[in-house]
Amino acid sequence: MAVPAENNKVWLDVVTGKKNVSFSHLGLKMFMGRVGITLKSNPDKAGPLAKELFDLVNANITSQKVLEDIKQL
Amino acid sequence: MNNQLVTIEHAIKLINEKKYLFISADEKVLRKLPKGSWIGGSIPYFVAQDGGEFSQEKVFVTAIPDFATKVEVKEYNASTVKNIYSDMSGNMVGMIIIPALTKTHVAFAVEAPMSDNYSRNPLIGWISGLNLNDLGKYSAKIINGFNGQFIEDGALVMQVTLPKDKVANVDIINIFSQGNGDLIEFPTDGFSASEAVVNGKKVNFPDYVKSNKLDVKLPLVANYCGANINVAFQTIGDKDVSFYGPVFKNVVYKQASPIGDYVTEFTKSIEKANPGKNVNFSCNCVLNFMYLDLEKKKTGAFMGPATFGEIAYQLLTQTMVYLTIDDV
Repeated sequence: MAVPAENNKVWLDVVTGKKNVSFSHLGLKMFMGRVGITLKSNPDKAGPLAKELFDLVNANITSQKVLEDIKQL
Repeated sequence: MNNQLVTIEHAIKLINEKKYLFISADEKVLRKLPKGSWIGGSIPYFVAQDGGEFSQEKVFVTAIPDFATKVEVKEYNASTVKNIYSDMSGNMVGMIIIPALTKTHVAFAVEAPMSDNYSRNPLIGWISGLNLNDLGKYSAKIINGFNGQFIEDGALVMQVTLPKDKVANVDIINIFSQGNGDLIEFPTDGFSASEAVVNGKKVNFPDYVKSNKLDVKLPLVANYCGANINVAFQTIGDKDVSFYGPVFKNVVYKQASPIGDYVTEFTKSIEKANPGKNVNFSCNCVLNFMYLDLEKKKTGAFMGPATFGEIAYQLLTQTMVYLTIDDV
């Protein structure tokens, strides 16, 4: 399963909640907790957070849970 | 990793074999250990091979696997602890210990989730403590076994680099989940709160807890994209309520549902988590040890210290955290 490209809109849709995903990897869940906290007070941070999510997935791509999680993207 | 509660003599033998070790023991025991390739923290509570146990004589030892390609230790303080994630790279897992009730403890709890590169690498560990009967008499400690230095306020991270064919996975087992009660939000981040917004209405939080007779053995629970994140109650004062971990602004909390028998619930959760045979490290909360009466009770392959806070990417409370190192 290929990781969507960095400029793919799906990353922004995930962090803004337009696309609902149910991550199994704890690091991704925790990061999404941070996303929720940040965007409530700084909605303009969605772009940088989408980039961070992309980087986070790539950094953990050897995890079986992340491989399962990206199937939802 | 070997992961077991052993005698001091056995721990000294492992240290002298030049193993890289992640150690927990009462401070008096830590002071008897020789210098070596290890870091440790003070705690006398364990859930080990013979079940839950209070010991001021034994040592819980986690040996880093021989296949690790590099092991380094970094020390942090309250000002630098936000750099922990940025200082990790590649196929590295961080194993961290921080003494309880210190500036570094608070700084890590509040700042780590907002730090650069948060959760890029797995991070697991615990908050060191002491005999609960001795609270206020002396402080929790961590020790850098490489130089024998005890640290009262700081953090030690053992950075373990794994070969390309291994992957570290950090996860949690939390038997608590959000109940059906009030929606609770807080106006600021922190380990205490004098005010809260409950179902949209501003309230004095200590008064709310008292008048609603909340069972403070049940934590507040936030839902992080499906992960239940607890915040355990510490004390209910006249002016504020203090917690063992931070509450965050812009997070909705609900108090946990009551649970029945912990071991029964925990066993169900283990089966659901299905981490395989190799749990390389785990720790549970001393509040679970006390409230749920874990003494003499076994929790399967999940063995380790019962701590003053658990770390799985960020500070957690009333939660069991664990590390597995799996084949890619």
